Amino acid sequence: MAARPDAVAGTGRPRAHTTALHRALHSPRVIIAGVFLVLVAATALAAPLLAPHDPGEPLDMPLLPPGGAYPLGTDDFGRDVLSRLIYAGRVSLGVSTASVAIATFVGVWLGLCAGYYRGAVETLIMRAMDILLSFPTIVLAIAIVAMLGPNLRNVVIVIAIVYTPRFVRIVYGATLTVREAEYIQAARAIGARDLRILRTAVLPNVMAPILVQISLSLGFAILVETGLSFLGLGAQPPTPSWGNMVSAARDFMETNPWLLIAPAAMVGLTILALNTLGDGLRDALDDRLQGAG
Amino acid sequence: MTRYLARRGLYLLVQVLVVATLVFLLLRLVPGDPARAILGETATEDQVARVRRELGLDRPIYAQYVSWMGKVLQGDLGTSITSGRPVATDVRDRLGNTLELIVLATVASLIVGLPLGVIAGLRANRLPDFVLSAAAMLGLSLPGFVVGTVLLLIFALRLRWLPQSQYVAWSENPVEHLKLLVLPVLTLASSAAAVVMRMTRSSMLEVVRQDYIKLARAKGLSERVVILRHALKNAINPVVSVVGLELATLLGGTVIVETIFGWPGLSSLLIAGVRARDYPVVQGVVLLIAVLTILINLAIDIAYAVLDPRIRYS
Repeated sequence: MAARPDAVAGTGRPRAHTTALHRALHSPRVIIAGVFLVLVAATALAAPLLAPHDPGEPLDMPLLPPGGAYPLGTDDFGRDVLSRLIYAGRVSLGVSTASVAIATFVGVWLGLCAGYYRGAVETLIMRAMDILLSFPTIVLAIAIVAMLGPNLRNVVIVIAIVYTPRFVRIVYGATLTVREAEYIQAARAIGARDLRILRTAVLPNVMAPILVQISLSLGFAILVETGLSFLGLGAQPPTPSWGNMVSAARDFMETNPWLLIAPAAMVGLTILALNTLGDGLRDALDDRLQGAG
Repeated sequence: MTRYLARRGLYLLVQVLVVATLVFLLLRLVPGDPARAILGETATEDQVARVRRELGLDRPIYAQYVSWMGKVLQGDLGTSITSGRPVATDVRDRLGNTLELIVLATVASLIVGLPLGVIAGLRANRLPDFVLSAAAMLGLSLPGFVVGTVLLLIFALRLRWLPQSQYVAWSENPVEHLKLLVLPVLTLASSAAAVVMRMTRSSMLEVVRQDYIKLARAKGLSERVVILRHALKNAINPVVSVVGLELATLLGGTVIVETIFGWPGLSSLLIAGVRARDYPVVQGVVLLIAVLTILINLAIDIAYAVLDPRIRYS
């Protein structure tokens, strides 16, 4: 995509950055996606205040249709579906945020080291990442969860392991291009320590692709968490997850389709919003992403 | 090219050995005693000791490793704890079913994704592009378990156009077999088609701006020839590589799809193994899937080199 006039208006690097973000924030799809995500996150955080009922407590007749005291009806145990949906958001968002945070932290540092030091460090880190990438994500996740045992803590660990290589690759590529820049040479010449150079000179310049990757990875992480929970390897009943809610709804979907539709819609829309946000950010930062791999 | 292939071959070997080592180490992740985990709390010490012996856990770790590697290299993946059959036999019986899904889903995603990507690329930032790009975004974002379950609800349970999940082999009844394939293939292809479409679109956008396209138009060639012969032919390369990456994703996607549709492939074997804590089965399937992924990536790299003569690997 050609750089639009406003993209090149800023002269300094920080300016280009802000302009791009500014531009992303003006795109209607990014705004809608962002508002939706803020709402979902706020609902999840305030779950104890917002959920009308206890998500784990059988309250009434099972499989009541939506309406009355239960806006989305009750499930096969007579639990309030809306409350479960809200608490499930907590699980999905919590697991994905925690795992992506770990993957970002570990991945960024490994990528920075591989790109900055080159040589043996580079070979070791990048070949290890190649190996991790040679397993399809969900299969690697299943293999590790199968061995560690299915629970949410292990799901967080697994998703972090699976997504670390993506951050390593992106940061590595970006670092390679940045490390030859004059201001890095200058920093080195005045005797700045490596860690300081990495933190103050290299890291800020690879932030843009990292930001995009975080947004996209959060979507994928929800995909993996809900997928594992759907297979019975993630959140264990009675803990609700959008994934195990869809799975449980399968037995009743012909007679009680809303049990399926509510969690399916939530997981679909949340991932859609995260991908839209990631895409919007990438488009806005496009001129800065060139050559970042 | 020969040197490139030789080097890639050597690298492949190393990769497979490392992956096999990791799969061997997977069993070490099991907290406590794997034999006890398999049998549960109620098993007697004798039973646990027997399973430990069967898994080779009673020997020192380096002896286990050497024996595991030796067997794997001979195609022996151990014995299933639940069925008592060799894992290699089970895996071989089911590999074809999984490949069938992946190949058909790839073909379907190309049939849908390529033309739609060309249309979106040529009509960039106009209505057809917006509609197609939004559809692609949806395809990318909806998880397989949502798409599969909803398709099953609509087409099998409500409309009853397609059968549910009782597997019928091709040799028994080809028509039934094909009908059974429709929904799992559609589920798998929904995200792959979106990926192909997006890549084709951006690649076309890149190519139609080139001078030789302007020249082709200026020569008075018909738009059809310009698009198909000149533009698409040059835009196809990134699409090939994304299809390669997508094959690995599809392989992962079969885990969900085979579970939903009761398809007797590798992935449903994996899930059954996980549920029964049948560790040799889990290790065998994971190893095979990883090796398949490595081979797919190699095939794509070679296809890339053959398709684009500008790429030279020295």
